[in-house]
Amino acid sequence: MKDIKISDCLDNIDPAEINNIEMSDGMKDKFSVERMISVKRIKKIVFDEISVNTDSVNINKKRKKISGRKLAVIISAAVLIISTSVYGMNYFGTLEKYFPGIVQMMKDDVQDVSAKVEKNGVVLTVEAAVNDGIEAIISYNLTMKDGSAFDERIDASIIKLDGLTQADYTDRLDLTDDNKKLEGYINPKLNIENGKSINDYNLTLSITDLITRQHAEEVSKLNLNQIINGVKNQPVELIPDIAQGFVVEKAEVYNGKVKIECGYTYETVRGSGDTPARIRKLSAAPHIIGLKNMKTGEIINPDESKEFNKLSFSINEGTDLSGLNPIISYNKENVVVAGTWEVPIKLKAADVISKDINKTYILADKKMILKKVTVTPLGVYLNGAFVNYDDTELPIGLSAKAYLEDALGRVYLVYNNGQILHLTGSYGETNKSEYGNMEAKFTYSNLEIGEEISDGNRTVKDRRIFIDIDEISSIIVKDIAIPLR
Amino acid sequence: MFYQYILVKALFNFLVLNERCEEMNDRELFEGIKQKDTCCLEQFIEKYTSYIAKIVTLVGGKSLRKQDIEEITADVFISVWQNAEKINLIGNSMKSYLGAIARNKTKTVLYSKKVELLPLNEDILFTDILMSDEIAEKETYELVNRTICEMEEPDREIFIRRYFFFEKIREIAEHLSMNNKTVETRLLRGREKLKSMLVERGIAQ
Repeated sequence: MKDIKISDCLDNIDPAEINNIEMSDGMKDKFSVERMISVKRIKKIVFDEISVNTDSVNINKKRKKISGRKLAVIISAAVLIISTSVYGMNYFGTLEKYFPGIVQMMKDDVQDVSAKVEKNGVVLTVEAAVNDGIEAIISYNLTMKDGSAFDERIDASIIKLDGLTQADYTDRLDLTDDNKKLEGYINPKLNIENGKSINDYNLTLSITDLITRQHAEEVSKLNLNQIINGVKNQPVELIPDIAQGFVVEKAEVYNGKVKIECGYTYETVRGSGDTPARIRKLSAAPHIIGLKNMKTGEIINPDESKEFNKLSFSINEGTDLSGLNPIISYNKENVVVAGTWEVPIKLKAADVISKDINKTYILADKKMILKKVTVTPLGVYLNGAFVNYDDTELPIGLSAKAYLEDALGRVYLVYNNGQILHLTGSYGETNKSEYGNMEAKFTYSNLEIGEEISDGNRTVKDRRIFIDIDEISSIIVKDIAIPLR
Repeated sequence: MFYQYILVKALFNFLVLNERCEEMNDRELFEGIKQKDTCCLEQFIEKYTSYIAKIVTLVGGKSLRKQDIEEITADVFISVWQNAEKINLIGNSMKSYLGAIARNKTKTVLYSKKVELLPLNEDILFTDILMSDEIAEKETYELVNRTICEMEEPDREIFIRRYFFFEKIREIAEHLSMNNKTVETRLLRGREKLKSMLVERGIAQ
């Protein structure tokens, strides 16, 4: 049994991810590290430890590589161009915010939806969509009809896209700086092997209740005696109406300690299909912060250094457990505007480049029987059989009409206006798969591997948002270039 | 004659080799360290002690004494020296590698002192998850790691500042010109997404 901590998950972060994160100003001013520590002492510790002769080994100075610097200059210029560009079309608004620059150049691929519904003084507008049949990005916003600002803590309780089955979703929703618009996008992805297209479905974007959250505390109506007796059979919900399945799974008393273990059960908002369509149902994040003696009003705090879901309280011997009730801390949802806003959407697929290949490529012990390749604004699809691709890596690159390659082999596509799109990248080490042939498992990049369709054939998708397909001249799989034009 | 030779050699080392090292960029210094060139290591220590100590202090806060900071900082350099062959330097700067090593070493020291760097209810996504084996565990960790790194900005930066560098919410908010509530809300949303993802993938319930 293992706890999953976010901070532990980041132990093996790719150092490139922290490259551009500068220390906070407050941190810099807080103290002067230079005055605090002794470089001399650090050197002594290091050299004592490595125990080497201080006679250095001569090395030759290497020629300085300048390609990276040149690239940095070009990227800086590109950022400037992007940040100073002016975009005219309204329905690009939210897409531009999240995917600056590139969307404008792909305007032929962006579907102007501009559908809206108004209810209870709030207008939901579905702005635009980019859709390749398997995946879509649908932008939308919420505004007050009278143009007034939202509470700065505003959020939506539930966001879902009805109509799709066997789909996965991600979503964003953010308040603009002037608090007058909630804007975001929803990103449904059909299972690749589904065989259907998003175009086949009648979709409905549905948003329920605009809410704010505030911290609250409440004493559970159940006392410890009831809880301990209750959990002998099944978990006990402490405050069902607010806690979204926050339960006590174990509670016991011995040696003057009350030990409580809690957990969550997640509520799923079901869509109209047979697959749960839960997009958003934020937890109230409840947890126990103490026990209250209902007779004396005394608060018993949990012992320190305990995990939040495994609490221990010290109590006096002979304490009446039926007089002790847990205090729950949680985020209370306050409905600011009640209602469900629904906008029906019918998406069209953007243009794609598709080419039948029907070739077998052999690279060392690997064999790729490639039937078809497709490049869409949202990714690259390969259809075929991939034999012995069990080492988790099947890098897919795109070669463009014009591109830059830096000293590390990363390729950047350069558009006419100077913008650069990063096409391939070094994602660090990959993990070996335990699944063997035909079940390649990709742990890096954005690859999605479809289930086997027939005779070993499957579709592999490499997600890239966004690709201007007019600029792509070939696909590169491993070291094999496959021309598209 | 012999002593003159020693003196000249020492002077040469001091003037020429140090000057050579001073001119080197990170990649060149790092190549020197790989070849066990202590001149490069010394120059490297001069260059990065301040940065590493700041990261250690940022992560460790008041839980660390001056001596602890110096020892962890030294440990980072020792680690680079001992593991140089294994480090695949991307780009020409060692800064991010050193930041990552410094953070992890500080975290390890603090854990050994039983210091919690973040409130547990903010850090723990799920408790008592049954992992089938080490591979499954590693994949789960990598999945969360990757999902965070693929978050849109500013969420990615907020998460890295909070969970990698353990910055205070107020400091993150100040740095990103947001109010505290916005940062808290983004962290809350992000955590919920991570939880949902693990639930949907059947890793947690």
